[in-house]
Amino acid sequence: MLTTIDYLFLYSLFAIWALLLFNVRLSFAGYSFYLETMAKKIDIIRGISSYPKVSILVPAHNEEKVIERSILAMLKLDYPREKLEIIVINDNSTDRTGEILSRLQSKYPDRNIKIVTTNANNGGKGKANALNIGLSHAKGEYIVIYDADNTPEVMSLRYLVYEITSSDNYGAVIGKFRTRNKNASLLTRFINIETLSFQWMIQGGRWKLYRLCLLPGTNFIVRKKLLQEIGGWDTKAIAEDTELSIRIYLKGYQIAFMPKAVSWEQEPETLRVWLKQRTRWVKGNIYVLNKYLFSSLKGFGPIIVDLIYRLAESFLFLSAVIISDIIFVLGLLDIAKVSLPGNFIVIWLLAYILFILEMNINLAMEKGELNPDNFFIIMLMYFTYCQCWLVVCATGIYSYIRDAVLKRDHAWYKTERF
Amino acid sequence: MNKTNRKVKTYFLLSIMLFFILVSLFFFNPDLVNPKNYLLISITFFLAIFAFSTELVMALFTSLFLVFAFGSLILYQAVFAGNYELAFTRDYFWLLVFPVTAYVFGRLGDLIKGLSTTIVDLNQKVKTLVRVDDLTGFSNKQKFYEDLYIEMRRAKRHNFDLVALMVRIMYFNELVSIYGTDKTDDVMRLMVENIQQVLRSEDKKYRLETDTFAFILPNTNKEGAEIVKERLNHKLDHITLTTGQQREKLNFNFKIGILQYDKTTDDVFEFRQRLEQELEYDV
Repeated sequence: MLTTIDYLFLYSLFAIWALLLFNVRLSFAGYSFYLETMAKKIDIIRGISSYPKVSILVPAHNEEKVIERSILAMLKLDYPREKLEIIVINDNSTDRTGEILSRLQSKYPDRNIKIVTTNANNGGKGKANALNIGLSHAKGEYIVIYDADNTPEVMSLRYLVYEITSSDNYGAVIGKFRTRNKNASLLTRFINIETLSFQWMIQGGRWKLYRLCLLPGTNFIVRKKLLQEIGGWDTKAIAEDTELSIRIYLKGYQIAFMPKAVSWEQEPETLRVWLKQRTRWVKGNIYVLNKYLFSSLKGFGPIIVDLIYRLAESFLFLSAVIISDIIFVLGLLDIAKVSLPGNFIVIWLLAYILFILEMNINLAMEKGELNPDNFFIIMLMYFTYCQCWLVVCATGIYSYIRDAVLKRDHAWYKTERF
Repeated sequence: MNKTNRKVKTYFLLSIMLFFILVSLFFFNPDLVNPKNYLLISITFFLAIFAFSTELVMALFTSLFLVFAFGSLILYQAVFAGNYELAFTRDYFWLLVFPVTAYVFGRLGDLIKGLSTTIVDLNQKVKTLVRVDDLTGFSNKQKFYEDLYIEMRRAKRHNFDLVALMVRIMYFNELVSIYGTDKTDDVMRLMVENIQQVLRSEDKKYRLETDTFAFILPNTNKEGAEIVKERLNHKLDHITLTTGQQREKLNFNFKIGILQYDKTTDDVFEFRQRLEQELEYDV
């Protein structure tokens, strides 16, 4: 006779199994997308006949540590000079950011560098606000966003332009970001593996299967006309990129993925900074869910289906993990035990082996990343880094609810640089 | 290259080791001998073949699917089919066998593929770069055409005489089949020695095909070349091969053609063709 505990246990078992299956499918889709991408030769960007005018927006709030190299990398982008303008929004910086920027501007007088400095009235309200200010100064037909720590590769802008001009359905095109400081600490090694896997599986795989991608906040190109139509960035959004993605899809456009447009960025090197950054992401995603699903349905489309679906997926996963943990604890305390006689360690083993395999496959797509070091890091990652995410989710949800109850504005936390 | 070689050896040994361990497992654990495990070990074997012939990522994917399928099966057994006594050494270990097999064989296949592409590339390079014939030390065909072109231009511009000679050993393949490669190679060397004695050092010597020599004689006219031809005929006719105690006179027939450059063409291929035709008149 099966007890309630047994049913709950079977539920979590099946939920985890279903998620594993879905991940296998996603990573295969990601791989076939990778093969498609690799079949495209560099000739495709040589074939561009007309170059549209592009405005690069770089929001910078206290970025003295990274801004100079980033701007220099952007100046090196292989794109006709007269078609490129770089707009740096110096958003209420209190450090030497402004000084560095004006020095760069006078050093390259023939290049189109604009510095927009905000004041106490219009500035200091987060990245979305800074981007809106930048947008009002932009003259280009397309807008490209780079974070202040980004060093894009020379050809990357061309790839973005090539891809977005290739179809009228594309409202935006995202590139691939990679970790510049992957050797700085164990944490950045984890992040390196995580971001590569995320981009091939979640972005690449979903793009291949459902034509769905989310803006990553940096290294993407978007049509200015579209941005103006939908009213720019939502200044209340904490994850302004995800929020914007949804409005782009609701407008009937798609966001495409172009992995050949590579930009290198700096990742958090300490756990404290990482926790803060990721908690902000979680809060941002709850904000998006709240805005589009719980409050009122503002339109409908595949992206909303995807939102519901993602929510269900997260719910399935979280509930499964929590239920099985509770059952485990109850069993330990001798309160209630699973009466099923089988040996269930296999689901755990299965999950672990699949995780290692999938991560390694994702790394194999990146030259030089599939090596013994990373293999051991992946084995370790499952028990450490991945578990940290549970903490992040919990704090994110708690912090969001607390802000909502106390009617506080979400403070925008800028990731510290190293 | 050395590093890759070492890796190939390592992965090759690992692949053997893998099947050794599998076989040992079956020996030490007779319970394993059943139809289900036979099927699984066959799958492992075909996975190995597939992994070896495809690339690493595809191999890993295949193992991913296998792991998932087999994992689901034992999960199903654990929950619904009343199979309560699953254990690592009897069931779960397959979850490890698939990925390891895929990785080892996939890697081995990739490495060997890498080596063969390198070899093909190198051969290609050698073909375009090498200008010397291995056996005789004479220049090869590429060099012949290059030099001929230069000499033709020079002769035309400065109004020099230019003659080319071609020596072809008749029925060469027959000779090889009768005397064997070693002996014919020896004869070749002897011919080279004799040719060196007849020709001047400033004459250019080539081995065009396995059975054909060519010589470019700058500042020489047809009459001069006729004398060379006569001497060559004499020398080559009297080649005897000493093997151990025996002195063997081998029956080689050859033809010699002479062509003087008449400055009407710049085309080296045309020139060679006409030189070949000259062989037909040497009866």
